[in-house]
Amino acid sequence: MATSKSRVNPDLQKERSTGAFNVEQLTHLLDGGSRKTRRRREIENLMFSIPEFDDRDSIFNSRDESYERGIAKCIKIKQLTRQYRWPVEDMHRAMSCINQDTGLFLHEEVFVPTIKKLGTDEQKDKWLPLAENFEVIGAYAQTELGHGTFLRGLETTATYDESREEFIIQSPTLSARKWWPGGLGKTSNHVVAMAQLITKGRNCGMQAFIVPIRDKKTHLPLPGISVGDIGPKMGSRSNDHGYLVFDHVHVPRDNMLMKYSKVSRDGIFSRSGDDKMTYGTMVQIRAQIIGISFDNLTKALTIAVRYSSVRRQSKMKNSKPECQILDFQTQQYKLFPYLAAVYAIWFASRTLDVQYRDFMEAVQTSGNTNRLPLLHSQSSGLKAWCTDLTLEGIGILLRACGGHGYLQASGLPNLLSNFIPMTIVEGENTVLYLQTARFQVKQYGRAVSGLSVADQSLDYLTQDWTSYSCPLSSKDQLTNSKAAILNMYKKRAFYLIAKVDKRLRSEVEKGQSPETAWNNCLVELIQAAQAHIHYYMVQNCYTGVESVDTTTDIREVLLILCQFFAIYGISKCSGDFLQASCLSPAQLELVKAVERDLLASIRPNAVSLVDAFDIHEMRLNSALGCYDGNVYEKLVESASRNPLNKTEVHPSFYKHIKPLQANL
Amino acid sequence: MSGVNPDLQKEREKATFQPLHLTNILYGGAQLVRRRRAIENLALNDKEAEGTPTVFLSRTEAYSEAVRKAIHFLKKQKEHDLGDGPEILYYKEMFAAHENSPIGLHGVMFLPTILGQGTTEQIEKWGTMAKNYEILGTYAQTEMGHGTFLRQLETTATYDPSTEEFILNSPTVTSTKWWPGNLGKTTNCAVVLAQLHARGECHGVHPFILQTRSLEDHKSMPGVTLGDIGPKFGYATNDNGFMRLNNVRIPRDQMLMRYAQVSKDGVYTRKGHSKLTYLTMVFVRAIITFDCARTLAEGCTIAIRYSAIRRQGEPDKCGVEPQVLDYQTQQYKLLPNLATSMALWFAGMFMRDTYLKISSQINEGNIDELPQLHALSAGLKAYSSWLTSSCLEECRMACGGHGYSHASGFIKLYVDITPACTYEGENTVMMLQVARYLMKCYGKAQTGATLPKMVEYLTEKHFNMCTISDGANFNSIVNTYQHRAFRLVQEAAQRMASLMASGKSQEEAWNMTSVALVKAAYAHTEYFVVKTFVEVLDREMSPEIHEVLAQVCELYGLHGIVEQSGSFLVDGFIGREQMQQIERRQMVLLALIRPNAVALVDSFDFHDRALDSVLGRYDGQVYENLYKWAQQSTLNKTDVHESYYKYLRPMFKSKSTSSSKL
Repeated sequence: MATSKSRVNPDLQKERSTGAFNVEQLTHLLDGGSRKTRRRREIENLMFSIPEFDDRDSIFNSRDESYERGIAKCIKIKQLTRQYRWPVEDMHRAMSCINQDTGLFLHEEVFVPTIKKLGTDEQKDKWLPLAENFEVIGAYAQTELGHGTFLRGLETTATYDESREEFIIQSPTLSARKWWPGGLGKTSNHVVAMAQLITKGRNCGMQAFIVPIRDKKTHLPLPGISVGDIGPKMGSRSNDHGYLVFDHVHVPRDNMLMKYSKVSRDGIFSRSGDDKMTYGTMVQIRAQIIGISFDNLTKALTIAVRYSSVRRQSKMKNSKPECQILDFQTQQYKLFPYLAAVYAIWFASRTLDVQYRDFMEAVQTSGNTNRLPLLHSQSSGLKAWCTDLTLEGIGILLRACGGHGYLQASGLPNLLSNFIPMTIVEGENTVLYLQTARFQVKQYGRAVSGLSVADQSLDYLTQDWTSYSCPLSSKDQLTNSKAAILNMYKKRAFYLIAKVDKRLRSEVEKGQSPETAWNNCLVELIQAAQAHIHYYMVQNCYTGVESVDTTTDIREVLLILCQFFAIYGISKCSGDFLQASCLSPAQLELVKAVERDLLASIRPNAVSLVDAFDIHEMRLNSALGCYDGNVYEKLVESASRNPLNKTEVHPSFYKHIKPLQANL
Repeated sequence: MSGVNPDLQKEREKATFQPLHLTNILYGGAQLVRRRRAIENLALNDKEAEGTPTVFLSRTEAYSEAVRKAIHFLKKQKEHDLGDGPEILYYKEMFAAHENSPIGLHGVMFLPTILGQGTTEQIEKWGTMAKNYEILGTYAQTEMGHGTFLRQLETTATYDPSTEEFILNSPTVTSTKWWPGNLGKTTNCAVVLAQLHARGECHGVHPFILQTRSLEDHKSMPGVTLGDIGPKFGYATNDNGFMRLNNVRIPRDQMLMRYAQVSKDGVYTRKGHSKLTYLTMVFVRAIITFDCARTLAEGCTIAIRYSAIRRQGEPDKCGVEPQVLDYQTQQYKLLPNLATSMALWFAGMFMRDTYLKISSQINEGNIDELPQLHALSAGLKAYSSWLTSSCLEECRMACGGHGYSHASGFIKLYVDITPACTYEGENTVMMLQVARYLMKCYGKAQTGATLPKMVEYLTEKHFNMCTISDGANFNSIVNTYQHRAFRLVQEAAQRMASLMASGKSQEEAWNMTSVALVKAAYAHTEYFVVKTFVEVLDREMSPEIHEVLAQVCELYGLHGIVEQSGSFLVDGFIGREQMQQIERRQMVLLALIRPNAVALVDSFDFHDRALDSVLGRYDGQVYENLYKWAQQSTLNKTDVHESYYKYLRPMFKSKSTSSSKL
C-alpha cells in the first residue's frame, strides 16, 4: 500500500489543538532535558533506519523466527555500540528500541555484572574479556523447577573434591533442574550457576559457580549437561528460557566466584567481607522495573487514548454524528485513572533513582548503610504496586479498545503478554509486599514505644489519628487541599497497620508461634503494605508536581492528574477510607463529584498528554495507536502483509474441507 | 513414574465429602455425569483426532490442524450419534479444549439465522444444504468501523428491480467486514448484514445470504475480496476474516425474508419483529456465562492442585517446606475464586434452564418475561466475563513462574475467555442496557405500577440495616446485596433527574451518570448471582455436601462485601464494627474450606485431557511432566539452533582459539 504523506485524522488533529500546554516541553521534562530528548531521537532514527529493527511483520513470526530475530538484533546493537563507541546510556537507548525480550540481553545485563560483582580480580581478568568478545556467552542459572522465590530451598549442589581440586555440580532431584533462566536454552555456552556448596561434608549455603555448558566450537552440550528450551510461554517468545540438568559436571576450584566466600585448596570454607551491596543492586533493579512499568503503560495509553479519539461509535442524539468514544464518561473512567497513575509512577521512579544514588554515595563516602532497610522496604513495595497497577492497566486498556484491541496489530496483546513476568521477576509481588509489611510493623513498634522512625514518609506512624476528622466540606476544598487529602491517606495507612499489629499480638497471646501468627495475618499485612505504598505514591506525586522544574501550564496539567490520582484512589478504596473514619459518607459523595469533574478537566488534554510520551511509531508498532490516526488504513495494510493471505485458497481446503461432502 | 503425588493423595483423603456427589449436582444428575464420562471414554480411543498441541505449531499449521480436527469431529458426531449441545463439546474437549473452531459458526450462527429469519422456501433450500454441509457458512456482521452500534453498519444492499437483484457493496474502508469468524479462509457462504436500500430509501440493517467462494475450487467469487485479519490475542485456530464487496449481485430471494420483504418491484414491507432474535441473544449469553464458569473452574482446578503439591518457604522442624496452599495469602487468592466459579456455574445453569422454560412459553405467544430475562442475560454475560478474566489472572499469578508457561494451561484459558468481555456485546454497553431497564422499572415503580419478579425489590426500600452476624445467615447476605442494588439504582435515577432538572438533555444526563449506572447494573447482577447461589442450598443434598457448599456460598457472599466494602459502608447499612466482623468471618471460612479445596475442584470433574495442564494434573506429577512437555518445543528440534551459526559464531572475535573447551 502506498504510504503517501498521510493526512492526520481530523478528530486527532482537533484534539491536539485543545491541549493546554506545550507538548514538546513536557517531553523534555520526561526525558530529563531537551538534550536527552534530542539524543534519544537521534538514536531512534538511526535504529529504525536499519532493517533488522523493523518489527512490522514480527506479529507473523514463528517462535523460531522470533528467537532468531532477537539474537540478530542484539548482535547488531553490539556492532553499533562498537562502531559508534556508544556510552552505556546510548546503548540502553538503542536497546529500548527493541520490542523483544531476548536471552542475549541477559549476558550483558546479568551474567557479566554478576562476575563483576562476585568475582575476584583474577577471575574478572580471566572471564570479562572473553565475555566481552562473546566467546563466552552466559546465562544466570538460579531458579529451579521446584524453587523460585525461596532461594534457600534451591537443590543444585556443588561438592568440593579436594583430591582433584574441583567442584562436582549436580542436579540431585527432578525438582533441582534449573528451569526458567533466560538465554539458557539455546544461546549460552556458560552459566553462572547458583548451587549449595558442600565441602568437608558440610553445607555452606548458596554460592555462584561459572560452569561451561556448551562446546565453544560446536556449541553442542558438554558431557554431563542436558540443556534446552522450556517451551512457549505467555510473551517473551524470542527468549530461549531454558532448562539445565547437571550430571556430575566437574569444574576447577577457581570457577567458584570468590570475592565474598572462598574455598581453599584443602576445602576450607571462609567468608570475607560483606555483600550488603547485593541489596543495593536489588534496589537498583527494582527501580529499573518501575521504569519498565512506566514505559509499557505509556505505550498502552498512547494506543488507547489516540484510538478512543479516532473511534466513533453510537450516537447520543439521532440528529448528531456518532460520538468519539473518548467522550463517553465510562471510557474516560477506564483510561484516565491510568493516565494519571503513569505520571505518578514516573515521579516515583525519579525519587527512587535519587534515593538510590544518595545511598550509594553514602556507602562509598562513609560506608553508611543505615538507610538500606528503608530503601529495601520501599523499593519492594513500589515495585509490586507499580507492576500490579501496570498489568491491570494494560488489560483494561486492551479491553477498552473493543474488538480491535485483541488484534496483535494493535500492539496491546504483546504489551500485555510481555509485561506479565514483571510481577514475578526480582521477587514475586506478594512476597515483596510482605517485606514492606515486615518493615512497617517494626517501624510501627518503634513509634508506639516512642522511638524515632526511619524516614519522614513514616512520620504518620508517630501521630495520634484517633480524633482526626476530615474538615473538608466543599468540592473546591477537596480538590485543592493537599494536606487534608494526604491526611486521609495517612490515617488509612495508620489504621491498617495498627489493626494488623493488634491482631498479630493477639494471635501470639493466644499461644501461636510468631510464624503462625504471621501467616494468620498475611492478608491484612498485605493490605497495610499496599496502603502505605499508596500513600507514598500520592504524597510523592504531589511533591513531585510542586518541585518539578517546568512551565506553569505543564505544572497545572500535572496537578490535575495528581489530584485525580489522589481522589480516584479514595473513591476506589472507599471501603478502607470509610472504615478508618478518614472521611464521612457525605464527604465520599463529594469525592465522587470531584472525580467526575476532574474527568472532564483531563479530557481536553488527554491526547497531548500521551503525545508527550513521544513514542516512536516503529517502537509503538500499533495500527490503533499511530500518530496520524489513520487506524483503519493501517489495519488493512497489516492484513495485507499476513502470510495466511499469501494464497487465495489455504492448503487445508484441499486436504480437509474438500473431501467433507464425500465423507458425510 | 506413576501414582498420585502423596500431598495430593492426602488432600483427597481428608476431604469431608464425596466429590462425585457434588459432581452430580453440578452437572444436573448422575445420569448426565455418566453420559459425559462415556463420551470422554469414546474420545480416548480416537487416535485419529490426536495431534501436536497447537501451541507448538505455527499459525498456518495450527489453523490447518484445527480444520482437520473439526471435520473429523463431524464424522465422529454422526458415527456416535452425539447431540449438538454439550455432547459434542465433551468429545471435542478431549482434543481441542478452548480452541476456537474454524467451522464453528456454521452451526452456531449461520444455520440458526437461516432457520430463524428465512421463509419456508429459504429454509427448504438453504437450510437443507447447510445441514448437509453442501455449503459451509458464517455470519458476517461486524465491520471495521462498527461493532457494538449495529444501526450504523455501512455495507449496502441496493435493490435493482430491473434484474431483481441486490447489489452488495462496501462503500468505505470502515465498511469492510472485519472479525467474523471462519470468514477469511474456511467458509464459502455467509449471512451478510447490510443496509437495505430500495426505491431510493434506506430501510435499515437486514440479513442476506451470499456465496463468498466457489463450491468447485474455493476461490473467492467475483467482486468478493476475502482474507484473514491476522494474528490475535489467542484464537489462532480461527480464521477471523475480512471481506470487501464490490458490486456483488445476488438474486432477490437471497434476502432472508421472514420478517421483512422486498417485492419484485422493490416495495419494502415489514411483518413484525423477531422476538426470537432476542431469545437467541439470551441463549448465547447464557452459554457465555456458563463458559466463563467452566473456564474459571478449570483455572481453579489447576491452581489449587498445584498449590497442594508445590512446597515453598521456611522448612518446619522436620525440614519440610510448607505447601503453598497453607499460606493465608494463597488461600485468599484462590478460595474466593473457587467460590466465584461455583456461583457463576449455578447462575449459568439457572439462565439455561430459564431459557428453555421461556422458549416454550414464547412458542405459545407469551413474551412477558422476555425483557427482564434479556436484561438479566446482558448483565450476567458482562459480570461473568469480567470476573472470570480477572479471577483467572489471579489464579495464574498464584502459580508463580510456571503459571505463565503454556504448560500451565492458563494461557489457553485466558486468551479464549477474555474476548468474551467484548464479543456478543461489549461489557460496558451491556451493563448500560441493564441500567436502562432498571431505570425504566424504577420509574414505573414511582408511579405505583407493579414490577416483574426479578426487579420487584425496586419498588421501595426494604431494609434499614444489615443483619449479618457471626455464623452463616444467608438471608441477611442476600438482603445486603439487594439493598445495595436498590440504593445504587435509586441514586443513579436521582442524579439523572437532577441533571435533567438543571437543563441537561436526557442523553447528556445519561452520559454524565453512566459510571454510576454501570455500578448500579453491576450491583443488580451481583445480587441476582448471590441469590441464585443461596437458593441452590435449598435443594435436596446430603448433609456433608450441604455443609461444604454452604461454606463456599457464604464465602462468595462475604468476599464480595469485603472487596467492595465502600459501597456497603457508605450509607451506614453495614457498620464499621460489623464490617470487621465480616472480615474475620471470611478468614474463618478460608480455614474451614481449606481441607476440602482439592476435593471441591475434583468435583468439577475435568478429565486431564480436557484440562490440558501440566500443573493441574489429577496425579500431581508436575515436575517430570513439565520436563517431558518442554521437549516438544520447536527450539529443541536441533541441539544447536541455526541462529548460532548465523549470528553468534561470527561474533567471536578470536577465531584462532582452536580448543573447543576453555
